[in-house]
Amino acid sequence: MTPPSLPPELLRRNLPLLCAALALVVTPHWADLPPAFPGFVWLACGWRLAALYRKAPPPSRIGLFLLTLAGAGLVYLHFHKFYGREGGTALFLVGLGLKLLEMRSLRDLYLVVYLALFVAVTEYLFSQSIPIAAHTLGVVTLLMSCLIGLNGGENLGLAGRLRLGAKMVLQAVPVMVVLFLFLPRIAGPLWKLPEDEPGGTTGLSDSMEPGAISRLGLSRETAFRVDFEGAPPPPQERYWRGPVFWKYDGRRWTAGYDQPLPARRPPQTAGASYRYVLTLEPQRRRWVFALETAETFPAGLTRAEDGFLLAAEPIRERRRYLLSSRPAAAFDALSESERRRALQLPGMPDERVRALVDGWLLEDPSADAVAQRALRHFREQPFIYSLRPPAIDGDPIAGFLFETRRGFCEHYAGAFVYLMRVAGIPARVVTGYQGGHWNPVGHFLEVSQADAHAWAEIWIDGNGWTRIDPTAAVAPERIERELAFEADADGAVVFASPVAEALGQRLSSLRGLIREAGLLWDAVDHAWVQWVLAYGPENQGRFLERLGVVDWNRLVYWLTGLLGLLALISFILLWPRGRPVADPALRVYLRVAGKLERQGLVRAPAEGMRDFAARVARSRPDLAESFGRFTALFLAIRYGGVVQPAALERLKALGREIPSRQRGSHQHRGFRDLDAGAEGIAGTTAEAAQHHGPQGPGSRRGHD
Amino acid sequence: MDPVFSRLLETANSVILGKEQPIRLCICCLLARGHLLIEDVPGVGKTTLARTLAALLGLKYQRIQFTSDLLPADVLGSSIYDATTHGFRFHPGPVFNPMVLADEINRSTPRAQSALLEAMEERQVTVEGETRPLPEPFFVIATQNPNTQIGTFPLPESQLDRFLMRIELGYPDPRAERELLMGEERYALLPQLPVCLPAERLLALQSRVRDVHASSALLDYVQSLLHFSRESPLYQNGLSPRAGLALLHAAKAWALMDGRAAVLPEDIQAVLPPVAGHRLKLASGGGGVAETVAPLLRDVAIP
Repeated sequence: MTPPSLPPELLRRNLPLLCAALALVVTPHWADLPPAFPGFVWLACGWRLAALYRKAPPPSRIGLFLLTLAGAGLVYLHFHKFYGREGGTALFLVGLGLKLLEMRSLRDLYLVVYLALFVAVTEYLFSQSIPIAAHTLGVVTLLMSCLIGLNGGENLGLAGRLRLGAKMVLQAVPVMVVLFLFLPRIAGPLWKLPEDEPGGTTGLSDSMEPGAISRLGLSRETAFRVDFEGAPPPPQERYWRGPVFWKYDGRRWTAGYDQPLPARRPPQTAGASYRYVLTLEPQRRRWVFALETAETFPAGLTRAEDGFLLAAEPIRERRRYLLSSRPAAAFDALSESERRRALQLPGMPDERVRALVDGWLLEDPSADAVAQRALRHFREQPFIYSLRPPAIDGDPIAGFLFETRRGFCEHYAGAFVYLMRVAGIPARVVTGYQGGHWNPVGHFLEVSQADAHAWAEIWIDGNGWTRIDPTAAVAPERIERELAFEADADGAVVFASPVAEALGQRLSSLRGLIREAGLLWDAVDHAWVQWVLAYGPENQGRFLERLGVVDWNRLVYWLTGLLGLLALISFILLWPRGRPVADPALRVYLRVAGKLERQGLVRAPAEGMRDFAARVARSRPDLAESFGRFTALFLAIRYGGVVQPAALERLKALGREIPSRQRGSHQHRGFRDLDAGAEGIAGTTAEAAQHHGPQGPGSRRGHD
Repeated sequence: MDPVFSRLLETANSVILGKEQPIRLCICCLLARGHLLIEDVPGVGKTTLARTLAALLGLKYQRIQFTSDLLPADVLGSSIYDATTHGFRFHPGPVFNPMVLADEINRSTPRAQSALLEAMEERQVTVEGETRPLPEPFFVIATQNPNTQIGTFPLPESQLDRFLMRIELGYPDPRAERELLMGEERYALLPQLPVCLPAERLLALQSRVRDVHASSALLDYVQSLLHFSRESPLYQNGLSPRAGLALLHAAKAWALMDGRAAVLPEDIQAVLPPVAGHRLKLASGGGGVAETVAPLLRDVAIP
């Protein structure tokens, strides 16, 4: 219905590159949004190109209207709102596609380019990884080249445009670095929308029930990374302590703090000390997973009575902590209320359990011996370590111990603590992470969600709380080895099965290579996280301190100085021929012209001053005389070579006579006459073009 | 406006109807000691314009009809043996008149064209080793048919550059045309015309053009225009320094005609189309004069 009024030549030169850029812009969105949305943009690109090359008609106005409705409906259908991370981004994508289809003027082309830049930025709401940053650079280069094409770069070939675009992006890099380093950082997440879930959709929870941790077991997401000062602890010592559970209700383990625990002195520590920096990924909780047992920690953290560290508020963005840990050596005696909690049971135990424990007690009633006996039981009976244990009806502990015998760490830890309590030994469940990947390239330990773990602690008189990991009895590889397990066909995880071992050997060379590459990538990613993403207010403060900037005022001086320097450089580079308005008469004129501009009388840059005065006189007779005299004097000074200082003073005086506001009743007429005046100018130009030369209204005065 | 010019213009307008602006430019060109090229289809009054001007200025006038067999000697003159003095005597050609109408200049071969064009530039003629000055004032009005017509030798750019201005007359508007159809034979009017601007007066005015003041602000504007024409991708080639001089000089003449002692940006804008139109070529190839100079008039800010 309405063919685009854009010249086809312009489109032929610029559209392919623009469409390529747009298609690339929305490529990462395929991973984050339903395929309909990035797909729509791709489709719009294809349609537009088809319209150009195959002469297929672009959508009519009505078609566009229907498409708009459909797009908005689709967004609502998927997200039930038009804002928020997903909804808002989807709406932007739909808008981008529609605008591409609707382009009718050069202005629309520009708009599409700018909208595309905006859409490229929305990708950071989903991911801030290195590939996305590289993608942004590429996209910006492409869009830059589009703008070059639209701004007189038609004579450049595609390669030339891209080269120039890349050059300009590269030239912007120093500015980017300076802004990145010095622009004040905002505390709080930059890339989160208010109503989003706090970051980290996976992680430990504040209770433990069968299946909670095993779900994490399949997640390869990084939980935290650790840089050690010196050697890392051996694998069997890598227990990262999280929440401790005391209370068991027959199904769930919870902290069970109905009343606060009595204040305890922290345990005394002994042995090797580890100092390390923990880089914690965002999560929903306040826990900071320190190596057992945390000794020193930064000010913002507190140590709970149970020995784990807590931040003041949920950790919504990546944080770094400098910690040191040493194994616990001596505890204060167990208080009565603690003992009561550590022996709590949800009712009478199952008969089979009772009998089992009684048998152990008869052999040797000491706590240590009972614990060892229980571990032996796990080891000797056919217990299997599995990420997908079968569901248990009835009492989960008895069912697990005597029937299914398949479970993940939380089953073993829970059952073990239960058995200890039945035997009258104070025990509790500790959750956290265990192990981690050592990255030999970046020299740091990477702990992923798959390393989430639960273990037990029993109270042994004389020793205090002693860590016992029943999972180690069943699957020692889980504890002592670097994690290397394969999921077998039915989903159960079998550690170090002979089959896997053999396969592993055969594929070892290839896998070694892949593994090497993976480690290298992890190291690069860690550096990116550490140096780029974690550059928040704290790191900035530290960096500036190193530069000698300790307070805000100094930072402001730095910033002003740097920005001033940048401005000066660009001024020199970009404005070599321009000069400030040196002519005082011109300054006066521009001031007066500003007054008129506020009244709607705008002089075009290429319009002669005398022509302008004539136009003003036509549309505003009240100004004709004063502005006419002012202009005449100005022209005499600026062009006629009148140099007396008195003339300038007189000019200023005349300028002051021009009112800066239109008085009362003139308002309406002024505007109407202005239109007429503009037409007059247009008419003059057309006439002039016909007759070889515009005839200024002033010069025509001679005839009148 | 200077009364001398208003009288001149009025009289000319009474002969050539509805062409105030071209006539004005024509006089401006004469005042700036430039030569004029009129490009238009036959029959719109090119010759009448030239003859009217010659009459009004009281100048001796001769017309050269350029044809494909025209020789340089037909323009410049030649020596002929005189039996009475037993020697060669130089018979000056038509170019030795103060006002020369070179009609349909692009119908002749480049050889004949360049003979005239060299004379125009140097204001002297060298024939058979002897240099003879041309009269003062010396004003050439050349006409040419649009290059699209058959049997033309288009003037090269370097030759076009020698004309200060190129104008088009165009068809008269209906009112002027009706008057023309009703009125007398135009040529019959010519002998009755008074001499409005005698040659001595014209020479004096010509020398005053140089004294018209051009401030540095104005020169900035001229340079902006030149710079724009050279930098903009719109044009195949920019304006030459000679074009800049021509522009300034024509604007000075225009200001003088307006009775002013200083050039204004409006003067530059007024003479820009005829001065720059034939010296610029749009990169896109086509385009009339208006289209060619429109970006200069519209996009170059007055500093």
